[in-house]
Amino acid sequence: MPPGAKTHHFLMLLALLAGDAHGLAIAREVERLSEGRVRLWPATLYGSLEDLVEYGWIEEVADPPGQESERRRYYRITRSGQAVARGETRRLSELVRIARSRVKPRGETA
Amino acid sequence: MSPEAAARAYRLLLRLAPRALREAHADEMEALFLERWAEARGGRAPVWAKALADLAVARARGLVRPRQRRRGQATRIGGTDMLGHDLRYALRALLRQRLAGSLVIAMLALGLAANVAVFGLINGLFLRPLPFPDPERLVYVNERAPRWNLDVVGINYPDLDQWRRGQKQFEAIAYYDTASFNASDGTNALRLEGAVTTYDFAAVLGVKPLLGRFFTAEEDRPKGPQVVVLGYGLWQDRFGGDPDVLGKALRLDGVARTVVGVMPRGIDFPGGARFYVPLALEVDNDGQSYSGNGIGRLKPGVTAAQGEADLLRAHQPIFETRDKERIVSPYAVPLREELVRDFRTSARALAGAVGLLLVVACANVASLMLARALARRREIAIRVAVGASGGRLLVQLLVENLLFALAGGMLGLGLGWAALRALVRAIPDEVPSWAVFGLDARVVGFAFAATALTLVLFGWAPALHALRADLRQAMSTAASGSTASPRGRRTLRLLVGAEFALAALLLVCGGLLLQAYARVRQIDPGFEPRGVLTFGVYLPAASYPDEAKRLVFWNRLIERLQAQPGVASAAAITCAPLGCHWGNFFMAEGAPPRGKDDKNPVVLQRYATVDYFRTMGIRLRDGRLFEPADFKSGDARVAVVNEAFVREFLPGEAHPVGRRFRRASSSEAPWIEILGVVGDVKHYGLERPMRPGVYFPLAARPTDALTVALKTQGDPASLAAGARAVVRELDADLALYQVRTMDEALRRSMTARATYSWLLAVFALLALLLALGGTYGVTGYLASQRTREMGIRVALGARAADIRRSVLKGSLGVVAVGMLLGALLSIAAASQISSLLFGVSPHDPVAIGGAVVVLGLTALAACWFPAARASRVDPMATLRSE
Repeated sequence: MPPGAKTHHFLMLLALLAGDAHGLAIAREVERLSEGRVRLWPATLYGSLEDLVEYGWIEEVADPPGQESERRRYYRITRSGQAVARGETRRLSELVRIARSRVKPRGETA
Repeated sequence: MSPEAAARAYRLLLRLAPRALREAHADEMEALFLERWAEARGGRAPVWAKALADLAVARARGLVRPRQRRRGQATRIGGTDMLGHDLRYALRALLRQRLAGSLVIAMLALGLAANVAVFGLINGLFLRPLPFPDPERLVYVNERAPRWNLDVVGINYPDLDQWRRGQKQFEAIAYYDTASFNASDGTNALRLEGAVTTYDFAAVLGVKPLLGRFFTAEEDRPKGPQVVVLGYGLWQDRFGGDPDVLGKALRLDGVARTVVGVMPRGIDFPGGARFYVPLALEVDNDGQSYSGNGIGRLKPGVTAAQGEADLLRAHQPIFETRDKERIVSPYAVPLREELVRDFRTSARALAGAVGLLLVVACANVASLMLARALARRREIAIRVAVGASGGRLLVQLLVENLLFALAGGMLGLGLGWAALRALVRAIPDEVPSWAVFGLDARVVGFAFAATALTLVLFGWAPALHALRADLRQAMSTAASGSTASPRGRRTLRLLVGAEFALAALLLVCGGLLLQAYARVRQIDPGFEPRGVLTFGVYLPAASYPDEAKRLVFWNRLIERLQAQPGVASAAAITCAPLGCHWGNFFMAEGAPPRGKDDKNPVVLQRYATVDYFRTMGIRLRDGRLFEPADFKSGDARVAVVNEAFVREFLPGEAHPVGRRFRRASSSEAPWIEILGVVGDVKHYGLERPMRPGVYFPLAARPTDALTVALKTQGDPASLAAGARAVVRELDADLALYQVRTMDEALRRSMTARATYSWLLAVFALLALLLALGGTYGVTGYLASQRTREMGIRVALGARAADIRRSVLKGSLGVVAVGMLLGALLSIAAASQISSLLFGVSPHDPVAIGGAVVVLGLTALAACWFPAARASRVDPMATLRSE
């Protein structure tokens, strides 16, 4: 992921791996995935969605489901977005593995 | 706030967001916001704060890294994008002038922090609703007796009964008093603070117990069942929050009381009560015993004054029978007023002081910004020349100011909040237990409003100047090194003068308060606090049913304590200085009978052991002190009186020793002989006048609770452990309470005065520093603008001293006028706080003179350095640079 990308970008990608969704649904899914730790606020959420579109990791769905009266923008994760999510997962697990070799959680003996 | 209103408000906030984001997602952003808004628990203020921060961050990100426009989209500059442009310009300017910018923000933050801290105090004490439903309907009820020289007598229970039966404007009137009880937890004897109340106390407050119920009218009768209602804290500490606590027992003063209820969290009125027990008093209509307080809940729409009139009407039968002279009468005041009585004047003084401090800070910022604007005349002139309108420049300036104000406001809110918490922690004894100092919407709103005010206060001068940005004039004066416009110069001088006026005002008031504090500290308390430890001991009626038993215990206790290593002398008394009050009425032998309207001042009566005067260091003025022989007889036939007693009851008597007096209650009362006269003790605090007082031998009335005093040559606190061991040895169930040294008691009695006096002095000092900085900056700027003039003058033969004088004259004249004005204002202001001044005159020459000298020196220092720099000007260099 590029330097500007944040944890919540990653979580948003993970949320979209489950299927196409609109902003509000993504926010709820991110909150659920992070066990309530990440609560996105409107400008952050939609600003980040635009960032992800700009990076080419997600794209807007051309004809979104739902009635015409409440048209919401739906997003879909792109191939490159999926690759980023995979890569990031690998990077993080690698990092955790290295960290574990040095830092023992409390209560365990070396 | 309804969801619709919240949505509308959020729409307005959305204008903060970058336009592209807003246009693409407004509806969905609103939907998400409403979801967050609906989830909010415990106040909506944080939701708004977070939403605002969220939008502000998005805007800031947009500024740092503008999103690339998609190709084909037309760019239109206007509306909030113009704002974005201005913001970017202001941010860049800020970054360029980091020092000036942070100075401005620091000054604003300082002024705002002081205001937020003081407002937080005021909010907690005066504004935040009391934790009861409809608190405005609660009134404090008590009785007063001006002829006894008592503003608060305490309530006579039969009177309360009379009011309850006769009143029409109250829903209920309850009685309450604080009380402490011995409560052994099995291993240690403890003293617990609780309240004794009538059964309707919880109903009057409008509080429903969390578990169980409050006690009933049947339990609130003499010989009724022994019950107790626990406070939340005691329930947690003693019973571990056990949900099945009802029906269990709590031993208080050796009596097992059944727990019938638990009060909800946060209810500990009065005075941090940890439990409630029934008063269970007989209504005996002949008895008169005044103590405790009343609290009433008015019917809706009834004012406290109407409530008081109603009480007086209900009290009428007592005036007709028992109290024909109408000495004691009931009164009612709003509960809040009673609770904050002691804080009102000092809070007002502090609020005034921080308000002025903020104005000084703003004046300072205004002069700094104006000087900067004047220095940028050339740049502005060029921008006007290439087509910028005055309005456009003004908007740009306002945006810059807004950034300053917002940064200062946020920093001020944080700093002020931290300061308030530190302050409240530093003086825990002075902070009433019911007051909560929270960061609520009111405090945030206040910070916001104060920030907006600063924006106006410091922004007006530079803004006016920008509005007058006249092209021709600007171009003609913009040549480098020429003098600033006379109008700008005048405004700068005016600001400096105003700063000094306000700083003078604050310094004089701060000086007066510090002087009053010093005067209070020098008051002779009438006793020698050094080396004295005091503590209370209470003998429960269960183990000590009669006076004989109690006297035996007290004598043995004092005897044992006396024998302790390090104890020089030991004694006990019913009411130690700075402690309680127990009044009675007396008349002197041979005194003319009192007229119907004559005053009959109440007398502080105390029962003490032989060595009390020696232990407490109270001075003998005439006659002799107690001797062991005085303690042989059972009744009080002898007494030691204080000087106030002689003044009041034996006026003009040169030899009061041997004269006699007796209780005023009956003409059959035995005569009491005066053995000796001792000096007055400041029993009610150093600032309060002393009442007439008498001391009787303890043997005449061995009460159940005494304060023990121990005198030592060393550290009195070190005696506590030994004393505790002695008491436990005599009776393991007894607890020591209120263990403290007299030094500590005396210091605590002055904490409030010390706190507000020093706070005000600190605010005055800050104002002085701000004035110093402001004057330095303005003088320096004005001098630098005159470099060319100086250069020419030096070239024509002016000496350095002449240049210095000309610079000094310009600034010091304004300062002198400002100081004069400030000194005049301070006389008016000081009369507003005269009740805090403790006899120090508002025109006190030392305070005013001191302030003038300090300010004068400050001004001189602030102007001297720029003047000295100006006088070192090199004529060749300046002239060459033309």
